Amino acid sequence: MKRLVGIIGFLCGIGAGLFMLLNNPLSPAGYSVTADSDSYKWRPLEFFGIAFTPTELLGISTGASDRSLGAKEVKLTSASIILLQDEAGQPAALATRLTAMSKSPDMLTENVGVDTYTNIFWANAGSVLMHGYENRWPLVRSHFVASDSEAGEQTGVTEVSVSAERPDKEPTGIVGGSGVFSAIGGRYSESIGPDSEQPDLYAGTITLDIAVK
Amino acid sequence: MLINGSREETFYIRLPDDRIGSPRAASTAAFPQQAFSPVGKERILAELFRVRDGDGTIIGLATRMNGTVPGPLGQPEPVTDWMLLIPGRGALMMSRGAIATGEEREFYVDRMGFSFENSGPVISGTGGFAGLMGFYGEETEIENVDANGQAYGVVRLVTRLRSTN
Repeated sequence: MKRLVGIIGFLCGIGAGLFMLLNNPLSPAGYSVTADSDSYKWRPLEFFGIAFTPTELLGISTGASDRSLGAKEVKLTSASIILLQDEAGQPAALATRLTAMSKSPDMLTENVGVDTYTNIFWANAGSVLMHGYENRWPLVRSHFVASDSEAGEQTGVTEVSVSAERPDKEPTGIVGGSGVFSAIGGRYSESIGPDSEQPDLYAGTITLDIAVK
Repeated sequence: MLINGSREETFYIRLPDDRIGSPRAASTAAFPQQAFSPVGKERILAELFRVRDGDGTIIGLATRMNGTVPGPLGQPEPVTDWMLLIPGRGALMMSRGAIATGEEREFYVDRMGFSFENSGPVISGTGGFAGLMGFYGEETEIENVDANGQAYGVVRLVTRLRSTN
């Protein structure tokens, strides 16, 4: 009887652990922008620094040294130039992005926070400056779920929504703009996954919900 | 510290050492031709940099984007956007041409001492830069250009900020 209770308790523990892994209520609330929004596929044209992949976060990445930023003070950051494409796959805008680890990853709350700063520029139209927050935990989880799967290498990891509310509730979104986007506001959300052309980097989809203030 | 209670801080970019990416800088996207004006002169220039403090220590990263956008009356207007990230401290987003969300276009009679040539308002700050307002000035000093067209010099980003409280 004791053994049976022990086995049941063990199984319940595994179940609770799995439930928490998939539905941790302490994890930062994610969000996605949909209504009346513009979506662009993006991929990096130039990338330097850390991509915050699961292997890099665990410190087991082989690391591409030619992407190093060359100073320990900026080792948990990245700088990139990215190309945005419209639904027809045509180049639509050019952007720069800076990212930095927000704090040390918190596994209890499943929060691998990354602050992102993005400047999108549409030729002869205008630009926007944006501050965002991403929780990369879903990518870590997806990575290991895919790794455990026999078909993982074939299926890979698809795009995962990473936009989340900041734990300190500091607002994020569009902070300013020029040209036709002068003084506008709004929010944006992103989903990311491995870049097909550079598998050690991420590409993704950004959805903008621009609002006239 | 400046006399009006604001604080001045200068960030340095050494050229070409602190340019990240190809030595001649910048990536320009292969946009469809119709995205440009008929004369084809407009382009978007995107640049990545390391940033140093006054002692020459690398303390952060910066990006600069430059292009032409329609002004209030539809006339072409040059815009330069800067993003500056200092890990552990925060970020500044600044622009010569952009307007902060919800604000009106201003012509800034006083830019805290900066000339109108290469300066603009701080659009937003985070972390230790949150709650600050002010202006920045971009000063480029080219000492030499070699036979390959490579420029040697320094870009100084001078910020003058004060609390909004």
